[in-house]
Amino acid sequence: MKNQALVLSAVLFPVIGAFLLPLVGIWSKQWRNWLAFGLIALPLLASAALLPAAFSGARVLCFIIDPLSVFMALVSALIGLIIVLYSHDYIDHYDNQNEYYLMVVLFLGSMMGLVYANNLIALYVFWELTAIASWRLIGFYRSPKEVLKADKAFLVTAFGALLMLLAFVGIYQATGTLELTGMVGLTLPVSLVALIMAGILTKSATLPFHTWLPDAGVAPSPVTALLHAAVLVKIGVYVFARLFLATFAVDAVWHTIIPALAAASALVAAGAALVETDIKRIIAYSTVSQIAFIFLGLAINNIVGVVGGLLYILMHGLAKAGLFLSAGIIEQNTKTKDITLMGGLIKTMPITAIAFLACAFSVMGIPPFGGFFSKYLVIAGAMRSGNLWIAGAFVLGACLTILYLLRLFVLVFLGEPRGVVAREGTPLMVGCVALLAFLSLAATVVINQPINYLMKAFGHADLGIGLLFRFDHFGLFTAGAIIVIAALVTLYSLVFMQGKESIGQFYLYLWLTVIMAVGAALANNLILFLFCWEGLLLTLFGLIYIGGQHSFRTAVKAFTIVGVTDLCLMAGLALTGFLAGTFVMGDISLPVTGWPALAYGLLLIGALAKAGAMPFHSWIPDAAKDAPLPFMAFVPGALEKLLGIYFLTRISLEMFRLTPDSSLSYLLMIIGGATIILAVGMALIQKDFKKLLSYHAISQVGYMVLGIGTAVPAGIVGGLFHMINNAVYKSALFLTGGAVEKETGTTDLNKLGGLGRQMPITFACFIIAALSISGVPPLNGFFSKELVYDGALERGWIFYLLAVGGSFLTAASFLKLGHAAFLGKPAAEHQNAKEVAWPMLLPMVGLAAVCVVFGIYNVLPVKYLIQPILSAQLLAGHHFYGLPSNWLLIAVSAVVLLGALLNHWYGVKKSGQGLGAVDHIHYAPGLHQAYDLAERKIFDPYELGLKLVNALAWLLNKIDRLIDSLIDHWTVKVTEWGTTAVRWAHGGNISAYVSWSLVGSLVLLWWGLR
Amino acid sequence: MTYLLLLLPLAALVIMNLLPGRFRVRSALLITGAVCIIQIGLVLVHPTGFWDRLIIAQLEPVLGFNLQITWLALVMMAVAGLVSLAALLVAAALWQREFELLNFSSLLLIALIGMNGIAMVNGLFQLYIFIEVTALATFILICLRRDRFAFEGVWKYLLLSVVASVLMLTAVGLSLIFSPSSTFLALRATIPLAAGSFLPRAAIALFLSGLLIKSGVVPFHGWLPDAYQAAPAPVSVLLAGVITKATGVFALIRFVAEVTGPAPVYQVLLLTGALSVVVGALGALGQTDVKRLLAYSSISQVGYIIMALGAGTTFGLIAAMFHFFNHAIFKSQLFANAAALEARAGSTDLNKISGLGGRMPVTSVTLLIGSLSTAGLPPLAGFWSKLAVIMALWLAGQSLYAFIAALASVLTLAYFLFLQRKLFFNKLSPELSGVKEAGPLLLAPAVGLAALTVIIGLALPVYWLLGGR
Amino acid sequence: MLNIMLLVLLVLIALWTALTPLLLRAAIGLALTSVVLTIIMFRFNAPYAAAFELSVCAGLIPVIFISVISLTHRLPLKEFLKRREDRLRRFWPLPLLLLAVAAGLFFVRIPLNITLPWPETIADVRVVLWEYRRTYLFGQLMVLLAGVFGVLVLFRGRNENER
Repeated sequence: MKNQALVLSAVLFPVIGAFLLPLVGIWSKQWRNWLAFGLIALPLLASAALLPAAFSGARVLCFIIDPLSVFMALVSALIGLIIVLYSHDYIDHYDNQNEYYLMVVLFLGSMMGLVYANNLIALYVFWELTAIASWRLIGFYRSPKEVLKADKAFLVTAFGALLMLLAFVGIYQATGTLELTGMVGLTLPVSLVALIMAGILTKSATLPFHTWLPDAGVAPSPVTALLHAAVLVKIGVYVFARLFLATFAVDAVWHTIIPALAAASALVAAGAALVETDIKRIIAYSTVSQIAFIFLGLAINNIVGVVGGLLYILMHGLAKAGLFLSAGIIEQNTKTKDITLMGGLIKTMPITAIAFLACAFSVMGIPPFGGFFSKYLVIAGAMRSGNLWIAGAFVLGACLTILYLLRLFVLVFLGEPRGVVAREGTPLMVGCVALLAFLSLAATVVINQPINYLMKAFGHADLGIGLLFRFDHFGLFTAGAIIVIAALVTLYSLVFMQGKESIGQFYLYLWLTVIMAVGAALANNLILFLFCWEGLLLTLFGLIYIGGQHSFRTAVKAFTIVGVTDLCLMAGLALTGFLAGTFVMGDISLPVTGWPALAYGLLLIGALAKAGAMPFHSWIPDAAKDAPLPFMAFVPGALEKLLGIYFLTRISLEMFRLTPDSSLSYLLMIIGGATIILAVGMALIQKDFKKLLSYHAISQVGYMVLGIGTAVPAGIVGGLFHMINNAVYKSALFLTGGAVEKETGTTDLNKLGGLGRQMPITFACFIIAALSISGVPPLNGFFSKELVYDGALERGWIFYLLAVGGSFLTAASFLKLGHAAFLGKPAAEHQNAKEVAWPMLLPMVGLAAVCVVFGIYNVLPVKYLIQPILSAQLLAGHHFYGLPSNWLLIAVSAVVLLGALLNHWYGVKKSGQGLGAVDHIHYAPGLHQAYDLAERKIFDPYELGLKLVNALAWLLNKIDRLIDSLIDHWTVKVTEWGTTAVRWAHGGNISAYVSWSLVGSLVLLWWGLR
Repeated sequence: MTYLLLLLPLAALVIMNLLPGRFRVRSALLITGAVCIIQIGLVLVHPTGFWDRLIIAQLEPVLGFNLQITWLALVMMAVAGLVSLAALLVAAALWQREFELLNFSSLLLIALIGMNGIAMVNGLFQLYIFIEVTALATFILICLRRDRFAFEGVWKYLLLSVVASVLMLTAVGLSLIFSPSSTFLALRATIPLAAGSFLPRAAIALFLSGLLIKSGVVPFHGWLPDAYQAAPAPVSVLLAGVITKATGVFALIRFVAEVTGPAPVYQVLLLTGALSVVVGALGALGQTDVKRLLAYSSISQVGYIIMALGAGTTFGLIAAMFHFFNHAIFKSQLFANAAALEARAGSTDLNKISGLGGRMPVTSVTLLIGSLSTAGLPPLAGFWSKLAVIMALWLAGQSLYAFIAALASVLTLAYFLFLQRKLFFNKLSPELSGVKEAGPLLLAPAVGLAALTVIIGLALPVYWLLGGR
Repeated sequence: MLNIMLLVLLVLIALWTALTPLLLRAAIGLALTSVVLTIIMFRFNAPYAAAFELSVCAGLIPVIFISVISLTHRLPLKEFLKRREDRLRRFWPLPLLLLAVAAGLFFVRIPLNITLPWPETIADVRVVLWEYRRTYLFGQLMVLLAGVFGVLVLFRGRNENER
């Protein structure tokens, strides 16, 4: 009885109480506002109180208490409550406030009714009540434009609703009942499903009925948040879940049609969002696009997808409400909705900006925000259903999501102000936005509760996203390496970052990065691994962003590239988990043929992008210029290589069985070889210390990829060894670069020179690290490279040549770098440069020492760090430490190094300075033109990709406009023709009227006499 | 004692015309109002025992008019009483001149007699006569104010009514050839016997077309918009709310329910009904005058009733009567709103008036309720009847017509949204800045009927939920 | 034969009634039509119907019409001629239409071989009127009453207006 009373009060109090609000409002505004708050808090509390009884299935009147209804009620009431709170300040200045509160509370009350409804007609009644309320809410401002848009929304949704009503009548005919619980398991014919879908698609604004939603952005922001983000558009998906998941069985064909439609919707809306310039329209299109994800999850007939879809309702509701409410603050304070007029608002409204970004991340599905889990589960579900094209379209949609939200954030908050100034919103409004952002974040902590609740709702066991770690040798040593280097970089930064304004943020992001990276290295659960792995995106963005005035462009670039590839990784992990039937990484072992090959390919994209191999590398050189140097030393220099290669090794050796004869092995080697040569070629011509190093950071990855790609023991060991070595010497190199920057204030080689005498220890460390990277014995780089050569030669001389050629160019470029920076004549303006302080020296010296130790005693790393990773079977009969056994290879390497030295000598002689040592290569005919093009970023995959995306967005936007004109223009046109015809027929001529009647009678008579 | 419903208005008519001069108008209004209320009361307490136990029952042999009360008649008479009362209130609010008020009340009573007759008679010829009584009273009512415009409107109505009369009379004549009398009972019995002959079918076709003209169903509807628009405000309430419904639609319902029966008639009804629904709605979309728009809307809504009837099932008949009742309620309410607009803003032309939402809040809210009810939005009364219509059509296997019925609701919604937008939401035109809300007498019918719409809309599901079904 | 002639006469008078531009002539035409109709009815053994037709349609209604028409004012000659022309132009298809209908009926040959199964029994007129037809009578009364109000509204009211 108690539960029944709770349901009734959750529905009836707001519905009836809403009509009291205008009366109270006449008397006191304050009381009305709080009464409205209370009327929405009540269903929230009542629904929360129903949680323990959620699985009882108790019924009262036409309402039912079941897990689905309680979940949805909680979600809508929670978001509604925050929005109403926000309205207190937002709506304060406008007319018709009484009507506003009446409609908002009525809307939420009807929503409760709809959610708890167990009767088709009751469902329909509440469905239309929400339509009426939203009609008045959208037309809140009452000028012709707004009312017209409100009418459009009303008409489109009413059209769909009536079709749905017809289907309900059809269901009644078939079953003789209207109670949903009475028709569980009934299979609906295609026609009825199509009719219901028409209703659902109009309400949930999905292609081809979606255009009313962006148009309805004319409403006040709390309304758009309430209707278009949080609650109204969720009605459709909720009813979908209620009817097609909890009640009816549907034909298998719908499991393809609906996801396909949703995929089209996701893409078209995302394209439109990329083109629009009105902030609220962009967010509204984003809603259309995200709703499609929910449909995907719910429609693919797969428990993981279903739970993901429902979870998506919650996560998207929170985050999208936050976005709309932020947009409300912006709109109210800037008096415009045009994002091309905004810019730089982060300075004046920081909290809104951060909250906006957090919510945007949640919508994109970036950890640690809750949106990550829902997006993962939906895509995992789609992968499981085996509908690859659709899943692919959704991955593309998710990529576009990242792009349009970032574009929005950048245009509104970053860069220079473009004429509009604004201040922060009122504390209440900003507080609400921050609360939503916080909830998006907090959801992560308790993520298992909703997921397991929903799994149970559909009668399944827990999904098991657990904090499952494994402490095997490889993971531990990767994590250890990360921590050690991070500690050294931190020590170094104590001096380097001193006095910089963003130092607090720097350490925060740095150690968050470490935590996430260590988590990724130790994770033994695919979802946990992905969470940590993708979490790095956030700190990546932050670390680059704090670099300076213009570094946000690079931050966006890095975020985009890594984010997009992470989504591929997400899809790959989802597929892997499905194929392997387990989420535990250690239990997975798949061949690389057929489906698993695809999974492997997707995972490969993620791993290579993290490691910074081509073609996912292009943010690194940009970051070298913009980001703080310790970041470069730590993240692209060490951490990303460690993690990327760590994961590459994991997938190639453990989770999948990469064999030398597989084409994927060749693919890896080609990527590795190309990366070596192309990146080092670019490094060769750089005139900036950091940028030159950054290209090497890319080039060195090539060796590791090549090594592992060979899939033969020598190559694999070499690749892994190179990974360790690279982390060491590359960090050391970047740190020396930082020391130079600290003392001289620049890293431009044109302005440097002769620092060797002023900074001897730095110079010494530089020499050791440079020799190591060039592969000079007896340093560590030599030994790992030799192993890679050995492996490459075993697979084909061409790969060997690429590797050796890379070594030549590496040596040449470092000769140039060292010469230009440390030798020659000291530059006049750096006369008083001196050695840096000990906290900066210590990490450099330490790393250089490691280079030496790991070189001379290479048995240490190989025997104690690397070999335990690999199976004894693989290692049998090989000997990897000590001096290389193949003397011929050593001879070739020596020749190559000598050649580099000669080349340097020739170049210096020719150009007269160290910096010009490779000019003869740079300006060689043919190469010269190619370099020029490369400098103009013609080959930058990012730029190419953006062009492609812009073209795609243009096309999608055209499709969107076409659909809009069909709804907006052509239906009206056709109706007008009809109207004109009727008017023309009513000319007022009585004879005409009599004639029609007589003709009508004659026809009737004829029919009667027939 | 059914004749009480005929004799009571007649007696009232005589009495109020014989009263002395000073109190004439006021008492005429009171008496007419009382008749309406008594009629509603009599209908509400309709248990058959009540009718028989009255002393006047002894006059039955002398005065018994051979009438019968069915549930159809009860609904019709309740509607007639309600709408007449509303029209009377509107007239009392708008008009002052004794001449107009007195004649209005008298003619209203005659029309009421006619409608009660239509509700209770049980023969074709009687039906025809009472239709004529009502129609004649209506003609005069429309030109009560004698402006040119009204004459033009009534002329069209009159002409087509005459055509209808000829057709119906011919049908009665034909029916007397094959049947001993023109009572429904006799016709019902003889039509199947004479099935081979063309006469019954010709009679049915002719009577049907006469009634379709009277109902204003497409393509027999040419007169309707002009007549509705031309009629003075109180008369338009009466005309749209109940008179054309009684003389046309209700008579049609009785004719179909009690006389014809065979399926071909249903096909005609479905076809013309669907045509009306669509053409009426399209016509309404193009109008810029409130009353004309409502007139087209009437055509459209009548289409629903006819379609439901065409379903040919008992459920269809119930749905038709339900929608008939609701339509009378909300359409007369909408015309009462139009009367308020005309009285206060001086026009019903949408190009001249706009932005009145803040000025006339009660009118705006009631008009919204009426509109949404017409468009079939839950939880208002119109939704339930429209749902019943759609269900009846679908369950009768006419799913195509169910589709038309459902989708035409979008058009209905479209023209009402257009009306709302023009009337209440745009900018207030400057010359209307002094407009005030109408007086209580004029608002009373609008508010009362709107409340009825809401109450019926809410009571039904509550009754249903509490286990009624 | 006489019946046929009477029918033709009926049609001709009706046509004249429709075509004449003068209201007075039209009213007289209406009366004449009714008279011919009465004769036909008598010839077909329907004395009650004939009596009603004569009293109401040939007597009462034309009287009302003529009294009403007398209240209107006369048209000038020019206007009259114009109206006549106008009327002729508008109604010329009417005779043709009638001919067409007649021809149609002649050729279609509706099987009118039905004999009336229930010949009208001669009884006391009063009994017939009150016992069997009282509802009709009441209705007719109401029609007349409405007519009275019509006259009141349209004519007395006009005088009131003019005052």
